[in-house]
Amino acid sequence: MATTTTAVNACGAKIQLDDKDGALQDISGSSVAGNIELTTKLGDYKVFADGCTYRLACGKDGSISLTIVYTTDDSEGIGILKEWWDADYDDARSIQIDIPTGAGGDDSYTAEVYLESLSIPLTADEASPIMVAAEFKPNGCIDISQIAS
Amino acid sequence: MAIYRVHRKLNRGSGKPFILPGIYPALDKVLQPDMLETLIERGYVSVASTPPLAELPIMERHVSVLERMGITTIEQFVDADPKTLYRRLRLKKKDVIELRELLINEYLTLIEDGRGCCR
Repeated sequence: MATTTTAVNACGAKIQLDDKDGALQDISGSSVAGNIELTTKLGDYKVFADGCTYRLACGKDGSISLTIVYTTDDSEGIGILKEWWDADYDDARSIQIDIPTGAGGDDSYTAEVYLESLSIPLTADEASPIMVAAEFKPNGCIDISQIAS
Repeated sequence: MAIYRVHRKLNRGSGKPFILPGIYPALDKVLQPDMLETLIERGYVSVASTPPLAELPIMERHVSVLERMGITTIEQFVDADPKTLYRRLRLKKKDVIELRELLINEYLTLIEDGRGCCR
């Protein structure tokens, strides 16, 4: 099989998150890492007749995590997340992650998500900026589409 | 009117509903020309081919006249001037409109720009 010529990396990924007004804000400039976990709910069983395990699939699920630089501007990633958890934690918001860059035809992962956890580690002798870990769980499906706008 | 086949779910942004895989007329009126070109280049959208009018039972009695008018496809029929069509086909205006709507509903999926169509 021919070697691929279409590999991409995540250097230019575009990450957007709803602010309190429900408008997607580009937080790529204050995000350093992310992970999109796509899962299928499986149940397994084994019968007497053979030694194999069989499975049935029942629905899709997933989770999204981001690593955000702790900054002081309210419009950046941590500002939006703090406000969300503090004032609006029980509402789902939209998240959109575009790979590789958010240009026309690029992959787009979108979901309505709840903010499940926000972890802010503090270390006295660490010179690097604080890296905040945010975990999101979708309320519904994580949609995969192509950018067309 | 060009007719397009959408192969992958398309995200139009700004909370607009996705365009789901299917056949759509006038996608070029919904998407910017350069965006449509990009999506076609990347294989996510293609120009659709629909069955010729001659193969559609509901068009059987009109095919010969339409062919003389140079109309052999659904796209050409939908694009044609209704007044010319009802005169040449010896139909009432409302019958041509109904035929047009039938072809669109049967073979094409219209994109609504509002909510509730595609997601």
